[in-house]
Amino acid sequence: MSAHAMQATTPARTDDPDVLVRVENVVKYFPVQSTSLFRTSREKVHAVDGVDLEIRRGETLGLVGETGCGKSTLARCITRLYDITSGRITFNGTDISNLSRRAMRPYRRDVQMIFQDPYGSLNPRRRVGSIIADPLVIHGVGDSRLERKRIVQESMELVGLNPEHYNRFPAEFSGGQRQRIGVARALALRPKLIVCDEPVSALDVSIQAQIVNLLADLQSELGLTYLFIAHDLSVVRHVSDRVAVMYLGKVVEIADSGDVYNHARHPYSRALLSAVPLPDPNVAKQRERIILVGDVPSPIDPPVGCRFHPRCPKAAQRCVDEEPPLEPRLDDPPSHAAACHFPVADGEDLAAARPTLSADERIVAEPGALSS
Amino acid sequence: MPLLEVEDLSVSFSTPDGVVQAVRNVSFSVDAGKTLGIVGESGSGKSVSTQTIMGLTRGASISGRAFFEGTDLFSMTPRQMQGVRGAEIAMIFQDPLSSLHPYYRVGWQIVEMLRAHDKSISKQAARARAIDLLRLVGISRPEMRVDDFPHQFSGGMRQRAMIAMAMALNPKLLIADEPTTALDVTVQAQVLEVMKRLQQEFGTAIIMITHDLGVIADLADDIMVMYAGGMAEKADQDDLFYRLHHPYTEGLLQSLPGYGDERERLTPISGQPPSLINLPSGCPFHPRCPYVMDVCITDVPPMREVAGGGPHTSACWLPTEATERAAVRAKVQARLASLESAEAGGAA
Repeated sequence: MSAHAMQATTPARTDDPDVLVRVENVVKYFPVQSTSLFRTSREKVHAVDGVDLEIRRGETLGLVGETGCGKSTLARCITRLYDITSGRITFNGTDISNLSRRAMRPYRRDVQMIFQDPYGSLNPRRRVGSIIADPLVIHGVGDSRLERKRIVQESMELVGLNPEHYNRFPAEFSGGQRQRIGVARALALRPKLIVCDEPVSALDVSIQAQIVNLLADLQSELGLTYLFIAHDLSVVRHVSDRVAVMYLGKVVEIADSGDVYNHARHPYSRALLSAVPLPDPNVAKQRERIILVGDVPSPIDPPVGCRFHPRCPKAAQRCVDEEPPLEPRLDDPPSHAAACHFPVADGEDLAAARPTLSADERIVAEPGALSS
Repeated sequence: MPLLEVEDLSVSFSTPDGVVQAVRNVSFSVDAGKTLGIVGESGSGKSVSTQTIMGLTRGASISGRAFFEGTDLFSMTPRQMQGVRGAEIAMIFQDPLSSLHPYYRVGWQIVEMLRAHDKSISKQAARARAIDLLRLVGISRPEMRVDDFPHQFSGGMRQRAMIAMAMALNPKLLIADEPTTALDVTVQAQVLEVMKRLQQEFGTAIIMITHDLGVIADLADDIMVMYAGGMAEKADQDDLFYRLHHPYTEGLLQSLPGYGDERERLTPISGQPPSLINLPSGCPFHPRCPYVMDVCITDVPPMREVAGGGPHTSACWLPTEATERAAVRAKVQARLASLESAEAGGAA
């Protein structure tokens, strides 16, 4: 690819030993080609549109947001499964944003991924042992077959699979066990960072808890760093040290996980949290519920200013005119940043808020509708 | 008289591997205007039992009876059943994209539904009704969107269109099979809100099938917990969440990460759900149960009345008296704790 030909030969190094991954103003656009009868327009999906964040060594960073907010795209940019449109990604002090495939190789060993679907992510016609050995073969780890088998069986044991089941096919395992196979594969190379893309969403609750515990144990045992993507906010809260909330390609709030859940500043974070169904009827009845109107706007032509303004209960003219920067609001610590002109104070009743923005700038409910 | 009363329903399928007992001796009832939540993991038989009531399980051997307003659904002719399905009992499914026909406009699909059951309604009137229905479920500018194809709708809008279609003939009972599982939490909240308001306005009874206890806590009046095709526990909402009896219900609730919790370990249910071809002896939950006793391995527990509170039954051999049960639980927990500390001591 032409982009690779132009890349700098010696990647720049930045020094902060605490930070494993630094994402700076990363943008990823996908071209969409819509051909009508008379013209061909080239529009772009703004999947990730200027994201800055850091993942620190040994931490779990949770990434939450609705479908289509760009969380998976961002993860794939960090693992360089996608080439980024612009911006910079630094891994372990090295700029990897423009490395060629060949130069990328040593970094791929350090970054592995666990996928959502334990059925789709394992080849049904191959034996589990050889699936887990794949990363070893690709990266030339282990001199002999026997050596690889030993590493594979170690990984299997680590994730709670019986190493004797080395020769079985994925179909012989249940959903939870398959997800363990995915984890074993990600662990085979002893990576530094594991990107977990909705690792438990496809599993039943009782099995979900087994995998969440397994990931936590592995982290403390092996000193792993996780980027944990999920739409289930209670799971994210449970596993994460810090949480970033994304909306339409941007991070709208990032903070220590307790701060996001107890002192969310962005109205979108609040709405997202209030929508989580709680398995406790008495608590569920008492809490405020903010029901957002409408759907997420198209990322092909995102709203100007604050991207959340058409659905925001606190929207004002300033939200259309001016994009809010991601920075600490009210008297939050520096670790807690939100991108909102009118941050929500603790105890503020957002359900009672009414936007001052004119109706044609907003998504409004139908007058006859039952939906609020 | 309850609106729907299911008695001793069993459904099995014969497959090359053996007979799958998908549903075993399940009984439940739904009153008009109320919501029954059916909870269970994949393979617990929650969908099969309701699909059977609707006559949608082909090739299954069915026993038991299902009375809808006093008439047995299983003895109806296919033609009679057609009159019930859609008009009296409507159904919405998990995946709204595969439930809508991709080739026809959304409005046309609602119109077809109306005209299939009421031949006298004119096309114009049906179309006007379709627009009203779309407005009712909160789709903005319904007069424009009525001519959209399903792919032009978002996931939440499709599910709302499905609800509009299900509500078109004012059914007395709406069976919702994991209606919000494929949706984002914000959209899920919208859809659940629509369902609750429709229920208030039209007095529709709802059977809500889900694996999400949060959804159940939000809108179910009565709850049935299913495990491995059978009933584990039946209770009203309050009893189920605060005075539960069955260890499986307890396990389900404990394996959820709490909203307010800091990072502490979750308590999963150990092991895997059993195969429905070779069910364990006795109580099907015994291989995973922390309170397992000798009787659990040999005898299948019947649904027994749990003392205190409203109508509350549970298929478990634990004492039905709350204080006795608490004593058993405390004993088991002490044993588990001592095992754990012995293990930790051995490791150190």
